[in-house]
Amino acid sequence: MTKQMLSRRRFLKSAAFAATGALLAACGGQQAGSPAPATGDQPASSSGNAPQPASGGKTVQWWFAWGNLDAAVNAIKETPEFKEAMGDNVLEYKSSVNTEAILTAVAGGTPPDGGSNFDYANLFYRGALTPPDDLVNSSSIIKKEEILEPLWNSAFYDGKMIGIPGIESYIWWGLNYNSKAAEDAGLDPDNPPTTWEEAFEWHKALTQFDDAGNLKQFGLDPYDAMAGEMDFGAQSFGGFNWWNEQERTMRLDDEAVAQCFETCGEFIKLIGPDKFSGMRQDQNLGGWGAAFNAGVQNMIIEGYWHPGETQIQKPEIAQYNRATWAPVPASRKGKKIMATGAHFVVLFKDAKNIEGMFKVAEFLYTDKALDIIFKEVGWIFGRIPWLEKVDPNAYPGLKFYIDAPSQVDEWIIGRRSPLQPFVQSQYIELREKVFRGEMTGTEAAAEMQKRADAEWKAQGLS
Amino acid sequence: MQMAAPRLRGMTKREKRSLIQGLLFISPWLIGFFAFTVYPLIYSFYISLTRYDLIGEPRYIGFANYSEIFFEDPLFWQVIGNTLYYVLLSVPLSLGFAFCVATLLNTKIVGRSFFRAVMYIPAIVPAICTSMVWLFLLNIQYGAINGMLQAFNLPVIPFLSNPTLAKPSIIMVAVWATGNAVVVFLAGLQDVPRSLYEAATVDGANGFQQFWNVTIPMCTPVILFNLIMGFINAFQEFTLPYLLTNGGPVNATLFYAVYLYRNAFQFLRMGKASALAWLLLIAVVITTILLFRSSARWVYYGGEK
Repeated sequence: MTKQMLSRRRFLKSAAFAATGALLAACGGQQAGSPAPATGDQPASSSGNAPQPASGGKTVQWWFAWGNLDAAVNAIKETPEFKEAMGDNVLEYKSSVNTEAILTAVAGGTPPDGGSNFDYANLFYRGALTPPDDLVNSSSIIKKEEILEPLWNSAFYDGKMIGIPGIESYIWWGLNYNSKAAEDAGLDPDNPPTTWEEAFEWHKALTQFDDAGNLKQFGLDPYDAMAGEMDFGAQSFGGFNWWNEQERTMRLDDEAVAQCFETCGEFIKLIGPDKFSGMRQDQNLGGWGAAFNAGVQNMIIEGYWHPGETQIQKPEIAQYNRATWAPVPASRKGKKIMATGAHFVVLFKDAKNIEGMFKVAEFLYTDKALDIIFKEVGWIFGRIPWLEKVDPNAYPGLKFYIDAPSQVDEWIIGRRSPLQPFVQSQYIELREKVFRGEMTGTEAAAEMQKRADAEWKAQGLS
Repeated sequence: MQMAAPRLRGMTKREKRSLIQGLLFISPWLIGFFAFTVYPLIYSFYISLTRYDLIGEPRYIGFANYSEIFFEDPLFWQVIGNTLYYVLLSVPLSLGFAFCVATLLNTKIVGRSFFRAVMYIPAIVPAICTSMVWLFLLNIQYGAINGMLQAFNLPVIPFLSNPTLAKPSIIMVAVWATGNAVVVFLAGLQDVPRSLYEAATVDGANGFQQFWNVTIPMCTPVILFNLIMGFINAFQEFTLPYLLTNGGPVNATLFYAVYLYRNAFQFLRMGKASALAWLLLIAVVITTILLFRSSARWVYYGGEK
């Protein structure tokens, strides 16, 4: 027998010490001023191994919902102007953050300092954000008079600011079309459709099947991108916003909404509901705008980002891109409809470094940042002095968006209802029932109203 | 506690020390169990009695969430129908398929080890990868299966894009990914004593009779285990419907877990989602109890009563 080196008692004692030590180490956070070199060359989306602030400085956590901005943020972080603006603060940027992550962080009391491209109105309405009015009012960089008026108005909810406008945000609705595909189909690309009736004729001409009956290409998916939202359906067909912000009411059971269901449904019926659903399930065609970039879809209703994004992602398609006003029914022919809504840097309640985050937001308002974002991602921001310097022909189709604001007949500020995600999910379900012939447009509109009212009550919203 | 106190008092010093040491040894697990299982379970029941959007404070509303689910929610009963359809078809089909495959893999065939490994692959490949592969295979226009059908001038099948076919298509994928059950069945089959087969052969039983009267009865404990695990997993199926169809077309594949997730994170109805989770737990517990109770009639425990 060998001599026992470690008694059970001694082992337990050591294990208890080790466990307690580990527990204490896990509970103790990183010391605020712990010196560590700022590498500065971390990938933009990394959150682990993030650069640490220099002694006396702080980390600024900014979460971004999408992944498109990474290259631009990397470039912005490297500019001397940004480094000077940030001082000892270090930006910790995390992209492609989904809603679950942000909600969990908010619920756990550990939100980032700021966030962007989330469901702003919903977060604000439910009290997750700190209004930055005082910071914005005292800023020497952010100026109300510089920003497109409807865009500036969209920054407010119940008289308080939702967040700091910047990064990118402008006008949302244009009919973008592939002029070469139109020409090949015998259509005149210089006379694009302005009504739904004309759009349907284009859709018919642009929709082609192969010998086996497979969909080769089609005209317009009236439910893709921005057209897929209830904001667009109600405004295009009825000229109203379904969400009344002042009265907190919803107008969904309406003849115009029923007409929207029926008219848009015809576009899908022409393709065939099963084929249409199958096309959207394809991983190369199902995503936002993917079918347009693939040359399968030839018309798409979306906004200011379309020309630049398409040019950067798919230049061979972008070269034929043109844009015009989104369609309205023949009874409303000539109405130029447009939506807007700012993208912000929002400040979360319980955020630890509001001042640092505001410095980032201010920088994202400057020409330097906007130039980089425009070049790297193709996005634009409705800050008029900067817009005036933008080459309207930098990306095919961009000129329409630069010129459009002065011609708009009907403006709305979109995505404002705290019930937006619910209404959107019902809209998706009910419109499918209509184009599959399980329901009429009128029945769908009535059902959507009924469900939305019940949900409003069940959520205890006021 | 009344029972435990006198027992503790009656313990010797050595026994008490031993108990404390034992508890200390399992304390990491105990702490984890209470912190990450028991506490969330109790808290989720409390949340189910509240209106809670994850942002504000939970507000107590009694059983209003439960009442809404049963009497006002227009989708709940459709979701129940979809889920039961999936559970009642996918579990027996998966088990039947797994048992047949395990029986085949238990025979002396060339390359048996290779086939066993192949059958287990679907169980170890992440569900997101298998979903992507099946999306590619089943797409109505660009899918490989429909491509082959077209090559033979046969009509295409809208597997995932038609409301009638979407559920059976998901069941087909679930049946394919049943490697875990195959492994458990295989272990059970290898436990069947050879002497029983020899006795059956002497009695003149043919292959099918041996399978029916020896193999199946001897494997019933394993069948029960797989049945219970199958039901529990099927009730909670999320990945396949979420990735393959996202609940569509027209809610045909809106299963319980997907609906629960939507309520929690899309509609910010954490109270209602917690109520849904508790109802699911109750359904699973009832199903498990019923299976256990029925097991006395059909499960053979080798002489035990």
